[in-house]
Amino acid sequence: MIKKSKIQENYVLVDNVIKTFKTNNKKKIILSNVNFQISKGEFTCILGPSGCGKSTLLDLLAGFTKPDEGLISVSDEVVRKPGPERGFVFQKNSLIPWQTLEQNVGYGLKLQKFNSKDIEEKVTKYLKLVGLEKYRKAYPNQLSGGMQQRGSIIRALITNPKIILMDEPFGAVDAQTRSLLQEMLLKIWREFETTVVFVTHDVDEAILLADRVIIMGVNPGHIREIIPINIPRPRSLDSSFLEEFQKVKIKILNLIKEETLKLMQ
Amino acid sequence: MTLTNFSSKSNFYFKSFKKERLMLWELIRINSKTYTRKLISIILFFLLWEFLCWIDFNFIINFVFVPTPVEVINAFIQFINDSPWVHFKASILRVIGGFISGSILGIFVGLLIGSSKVLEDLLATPLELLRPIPAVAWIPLAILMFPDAESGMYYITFVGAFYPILISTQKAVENSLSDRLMIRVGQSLGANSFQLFKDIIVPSSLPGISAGLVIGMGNAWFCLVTAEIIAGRFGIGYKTWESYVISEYPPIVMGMVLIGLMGAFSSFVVLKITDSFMPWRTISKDGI
Repeated sequence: MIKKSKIQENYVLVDNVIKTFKTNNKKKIILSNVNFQISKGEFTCILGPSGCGKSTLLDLLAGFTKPDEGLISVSDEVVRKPGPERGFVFQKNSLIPWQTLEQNVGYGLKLQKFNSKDIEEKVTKYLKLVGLEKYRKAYPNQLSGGMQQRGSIIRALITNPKIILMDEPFGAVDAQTRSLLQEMLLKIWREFETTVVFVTHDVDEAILLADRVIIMGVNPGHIREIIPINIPRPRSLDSSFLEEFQKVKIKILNLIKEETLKLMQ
Repeated sequence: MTLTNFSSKSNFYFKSFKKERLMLWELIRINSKTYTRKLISIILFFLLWEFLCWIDFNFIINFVFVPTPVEVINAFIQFINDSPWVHFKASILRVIGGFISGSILGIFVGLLIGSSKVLEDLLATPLELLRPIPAVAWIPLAILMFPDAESGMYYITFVGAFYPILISTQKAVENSLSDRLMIRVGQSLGANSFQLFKDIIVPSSLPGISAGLVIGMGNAWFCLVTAEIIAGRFGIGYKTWESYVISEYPPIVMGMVLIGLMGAFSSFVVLKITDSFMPWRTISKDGI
């Protein structure tokens, strides 16, 4: 295969991906010619107006759906189906309702036939990491939205995946909790040196978290621009007062405004 | 960071512990209003019945031949003094036998046709053709098809229990399959088809299956009188039917009440048992 060297050169490769959906027997192009690469340990945010196909792109990376054309690979492997090597954090309510928090967090390990003592140990370690060890026996509907999201982050992390894919994970929690969760995520990311792809529609969130922000355009979904964020780390809420932050923010907001206007015409 | 975002939902976790510490008398005191109201409604029901019999009410509905509650109680006392256990035992065994076989087969076939299009195409149509046939219509065939009357009677209570369990299991599974989120959660954690079925589809179908079991248990009692028409010399349903044949009215009503009571009680037991399999649900009906 010609593409083999390309797959090996890039940790994450999205190569000429085209995705269409059929509605009323008409093919609608959702993503056209999407190309980008991500290196190991990088934090990438995907930003764009609603309907630009950013969640579709993340689904493709996870393997939930397949591209019509093109190729996606993560760490030398072509993505064909979902699996624990690519951890996924859903928008909300994704903890399995009939499993307690500890069963949820340990479920991936149980599927990989770890023995119960190892699972117990690892689950305790990860619960402590996000401050949920007191709630290990609670069912998801006894936890707040923010707690549920913390649980689902460590559930994705515990199987030691090659990449973590996050689909607007903090979109449904309140603003105060959100900024705490963002800082917590940055801490985890530094500690585990994981590669993260994070979909959001919140510009501040994207700039605070990302090494690079991928801005997506509409009609059909495509990559408009990739913007590197050079704000020094470690970052916190205070980083948003830096001049660099404001400059990048205005640039991104203008780009998104342009794309949103296109949707309205 | 740990204690920063307690919302009302997370406090619920602690409330459930508190509830266990309540003393029994406290619980009675809290619920006493409900109990009082329920008691009053039952007393009024029997008073109304007695009254309608007493005035020989006869307008559209005729109460002239309806036994009064006192007569029914007398019939019951007579029944109790006259070795009732054989009748209870015979009926309970028939209902439990029909219910258990109906549950096993109903859940099994329901899971199959709920999750597989091929199996649905192969099995659903004949089952659907047999479903509307009432239990009474099965009596002649049940007599002809089964080696003895007893197994024919089991078959009729089975028919009653089987269909509601089958249909609600099938629909519950189809409903679970439409929840893409939970299936994706399982897939992304590495579950294969069998593990998805076992850990995601089946647990999320449990509330639906439970409803089917409760209705199925009720239906099994429903069909008991029909089943015991076939033959036999024992059973609550048989006793009811026999009293009708010999025109002895109070035992008929007694049989009806007994079947109603035992049906309600066993449905309640089924409900409690199935609820214990679903500890994750917190149901609050006050202030939806």
